[in-house]
Amino acid sequence: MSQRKHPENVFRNLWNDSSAFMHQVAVTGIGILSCLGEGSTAHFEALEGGPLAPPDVSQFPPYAILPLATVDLTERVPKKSDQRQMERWQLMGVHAAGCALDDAGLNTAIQSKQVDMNLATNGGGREIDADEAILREISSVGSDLNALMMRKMRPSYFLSQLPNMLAGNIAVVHGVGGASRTFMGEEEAGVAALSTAVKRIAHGQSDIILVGGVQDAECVDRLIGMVIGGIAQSGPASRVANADRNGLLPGSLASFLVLESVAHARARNASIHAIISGLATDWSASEGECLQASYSKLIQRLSESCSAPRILSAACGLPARTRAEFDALAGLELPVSDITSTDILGHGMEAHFLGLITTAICKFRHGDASNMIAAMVGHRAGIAAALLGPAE
Amino acid sequence: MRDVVITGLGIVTAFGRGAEVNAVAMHSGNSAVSAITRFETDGLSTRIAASIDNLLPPDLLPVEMTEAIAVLAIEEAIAQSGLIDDGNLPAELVIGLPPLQMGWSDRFNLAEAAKRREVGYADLLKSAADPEFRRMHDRLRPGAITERLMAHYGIVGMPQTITTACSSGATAVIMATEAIRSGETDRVIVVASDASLSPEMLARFGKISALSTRNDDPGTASRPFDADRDGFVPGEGAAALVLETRSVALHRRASIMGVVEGIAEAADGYHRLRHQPDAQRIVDVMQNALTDAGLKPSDISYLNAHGTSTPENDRVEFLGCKAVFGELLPQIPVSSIKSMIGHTLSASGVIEVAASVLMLRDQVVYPTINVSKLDPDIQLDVVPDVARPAQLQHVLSNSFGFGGQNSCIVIGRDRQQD
Repeated sequence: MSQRKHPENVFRNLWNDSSAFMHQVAVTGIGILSCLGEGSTAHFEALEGGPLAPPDVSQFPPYAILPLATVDLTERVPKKSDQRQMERWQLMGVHAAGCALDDAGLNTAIQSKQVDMNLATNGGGREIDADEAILREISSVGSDLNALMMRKMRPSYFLSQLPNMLAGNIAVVHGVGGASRTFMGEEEAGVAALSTAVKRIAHGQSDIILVGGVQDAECVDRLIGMVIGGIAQSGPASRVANADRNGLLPGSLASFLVLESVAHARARNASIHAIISGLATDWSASEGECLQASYSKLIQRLSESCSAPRILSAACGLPARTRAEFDALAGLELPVSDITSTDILGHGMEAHFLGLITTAICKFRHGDASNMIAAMVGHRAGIAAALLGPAE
Repeated sequence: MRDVVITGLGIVTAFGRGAEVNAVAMHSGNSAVSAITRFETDGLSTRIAASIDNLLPPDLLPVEMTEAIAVLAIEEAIAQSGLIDDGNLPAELVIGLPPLQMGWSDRFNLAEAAKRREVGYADLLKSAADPEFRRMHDRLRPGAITERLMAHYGIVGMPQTITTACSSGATAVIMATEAIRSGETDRVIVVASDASLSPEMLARFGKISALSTRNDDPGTASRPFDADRDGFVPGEGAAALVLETRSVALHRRASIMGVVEGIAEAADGYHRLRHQPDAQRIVDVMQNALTDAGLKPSDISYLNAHGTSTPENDRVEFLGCKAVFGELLPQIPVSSIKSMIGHTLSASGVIEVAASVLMLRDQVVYPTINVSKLDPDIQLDVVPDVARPAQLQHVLSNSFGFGGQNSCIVIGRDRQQD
């Protein structure tokens, strides 16, 4: 511990030696809501070459996004009083969380009460009308702004700005009552949400955890942040590997999984979709060849413990990072899926890694029982990969 | 299970920088609350805070201040722990932060660049493409603070950036404790920081009537458990802890300042802003923390309350304490340091664990100030106004947050300290 961790120690988060852990980690529920709609079927078909949703450049020209498919977001939030307390990103999250809990056979509050929660989101969103009304009247900070904010801003809107209020709403609507943790920080948030959940279950610190991430790509203030950073896709967009790609194509996405120990799942007769048998992350990997080498190594280390896994990538769509990721994958002697989860879902930011994992689980859900490595190079920093396999 | 010990701590509050500065001020029962001068407050219903005005240049944005005081706290904690800050810190990082958005000054700058009247978000989107605004990007990314801290200290591993509203700091301590207990890591730097004080923050909390409006008498505005409390007083601050396994700490001859003995969390699905009226989830989280620590209620010698000074929190927290401690409760001192440093929101959980460690070290209970008339519905020994010497062995610290977040941490004095 007193020694500096050298590059080869970046695998300290590697989790593929099941003998070192008390429990195997099973996925028993999935809930996914995206530009393709709800549920595993549409996403499975897209993986198999089925239709993809067309990016939209009309809503925020010249920037492209993948808007949410038409879904009744009130179906799982029947109370008007609950609906009024939520912005769309929260309704999306509560909906997908409900799907995942149902899929796992946890459909009463009593069953959900002992479930822990690890969520990844930036929350936020602005009260667009109030902001625009203020912008029309004044142009600097000061007492006029103060008075206008006191007058124009809705009290309830405060709730929809707090990232952890998604967890609050899931607790209220679905009765999830365990430890509740919300992570921030772009792709890193989703990776931390999944990896801490997997480790807690593996070490016996939790039996069952709802893991999820949400992004509403139709929030203009989120897009403004990406445009300021110079990372938003401008103009029409096809797949991440193609020459027309110049940035991230944000997609509206709510992606949820129920993870539990295999023993816990068996004890309640839950059906197991897949096992998460390895997880590796390196948040120090930076750019260029060093990035490629770290990424290759990360995947190789995961692949050592199983036979010929197929790789599903969530390459981000920024040209240089996507090229580095594909070059690294091409150098591995492993089969690589010719579509990425990003081509299906768009870029999910905090929800991005969970969107990847959930898409991969869709394959298991539809009977494809071969090993998979779901891997991602973050759009700024970090690499992460998970090894998924069938239930024994 | 591996023992998790505290070998370093750092605190920044409106009292100033450093654990000793804060220990003296809190021991003395001072108030750090004053009228806000950093920005224009006319038009707002709450114009007071415990802000960190004298520590940093006043023109820093909230996100910049939040990072700057996090660094001050981490540096103190590292120095105290005896670790060497040479850019190769052998530790992982768990950080509790508030959600930080674009501020109004940025929004006005984007609007001005649109060069037209009747500006709307479509115009802001157009302006945003100007590379002139590229430098704003890092301010809009919550992960940017974490990334810079990782790079600065040479921290490796998977960082965790946590936000659970006013429970964020406690959640960070809990997650770090779990990571060490499981053997995933031997050492974690836990930090939580919050300098999100801004006109919009005051307007938003003000609109849900969460804040005190005692603007004429700032020093007495934060009055947890008092009959006339009218809301919390926002505070700014940061705290950092070095947590490690006992064996690693002993091996490098670090001095042990305290032990994280018990941790627990319990989400409350009753309401987004309010506790279940019978305090059941507060009871659950306190009992689970005691169970986790292997302790009985009678082992607890002090309770560091969440005690925000809102009518709702303090009453329900008392009900929870009564249910857990029963007839023992009158013998247990219960105080809220928020009476002195305000409610430091996302940072409060770590600041309160750090304060608890100092109380254990000095065998003293910091007071609750401003309780001139105890709420008749709250029967607690709130240690009014004056610090009290006490024999402290195990103390319990509560943190609750909007969104049904409930956390509880038991901190103990180490046998090495006897």
